Amino acid sequence: MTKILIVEDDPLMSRMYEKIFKFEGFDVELAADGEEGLDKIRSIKPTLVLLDIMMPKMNGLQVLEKVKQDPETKAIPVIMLTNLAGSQDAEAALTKGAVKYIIKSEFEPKQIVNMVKEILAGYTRNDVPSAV
Amino acid sequence: MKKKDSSLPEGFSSEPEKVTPVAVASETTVPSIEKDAELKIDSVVPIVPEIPPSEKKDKFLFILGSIVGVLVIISTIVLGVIFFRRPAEQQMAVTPTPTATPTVSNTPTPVPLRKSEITFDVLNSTDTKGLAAKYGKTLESMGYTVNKLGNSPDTVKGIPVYLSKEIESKKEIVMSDLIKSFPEATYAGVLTGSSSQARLIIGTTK
Repeated sequence: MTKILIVEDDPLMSRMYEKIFKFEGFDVELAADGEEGLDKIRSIKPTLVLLDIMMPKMNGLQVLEKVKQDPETKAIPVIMLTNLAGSQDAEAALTKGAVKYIIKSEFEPKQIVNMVKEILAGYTRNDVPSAV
Repeated sequence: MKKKDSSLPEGFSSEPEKVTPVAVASETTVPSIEKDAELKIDSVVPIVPEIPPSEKKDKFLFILGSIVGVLVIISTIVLGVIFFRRPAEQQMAVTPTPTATPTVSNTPTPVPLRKSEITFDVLNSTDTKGLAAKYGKTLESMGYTVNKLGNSPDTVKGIPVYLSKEIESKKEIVMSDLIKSFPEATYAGVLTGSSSQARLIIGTTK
């Protein structure tokens, strides 16, 4: 089963995404801050990561940098999530290796699920790391 | 022999010259005409006078000139209509329509929502640190003004939003805007005891 890791410190948001991704048949894991998120990426090697930017302990951009430096995790596609429209974080995230940058307020949760599906469909079986 | 008239110039004579009549009628064959013969016309070929090239050129120039002339007249009419119509329309737009005696309406005139004029208190009722600042930044990115960040003394569920009486009439607009970024946000009532115009409390999951 496709495993999605949601790294989001806002419990309301992470709970909402967890519900909708589970409803769509994904296996969902949650992490409440950057450090926990990085640990889970290394341990469970999810199929895809939804990574918030503004988080305590370690922000999303720092997590992304570490994920892409690690040969074990660098192939995992990471989608950045944020509520801040028009920030320079988008460009920074894409430069650091994120596959997409989503402003949460501009999309319905269902649309975000569809984006995830499209991104996963673009990867071949060999590209996407299998869930452990 | 007659005597030569000396008054005549050299070469002229007073004697009449002998004119030998030319035999024409006797030698020319006149075709016989049958009185009762039918009139036969094989074909009548209309004789079309061939127009010389110079006249052809003149004709072409005449037609071309006529077309150009017609076009010029039409375009002049169209431009004239546009030119004389526009000031009339502008005048209509500028001239205020005379109204009847002004009546006092009890319905308040809708004022457009200026998000920057709406000040927010953002309170965190969860155990997660930094959420108030995060929500505050989000509100600022949406165009609102954040007045105060802090922790809520009470634990709430979802994201209750309180609005002051000043902006309560715009609650539908404000709430539909907030829901874009905070899907769990719900209107919770009138805000009292605060200098801000709105309060958003970050609660736990439902």
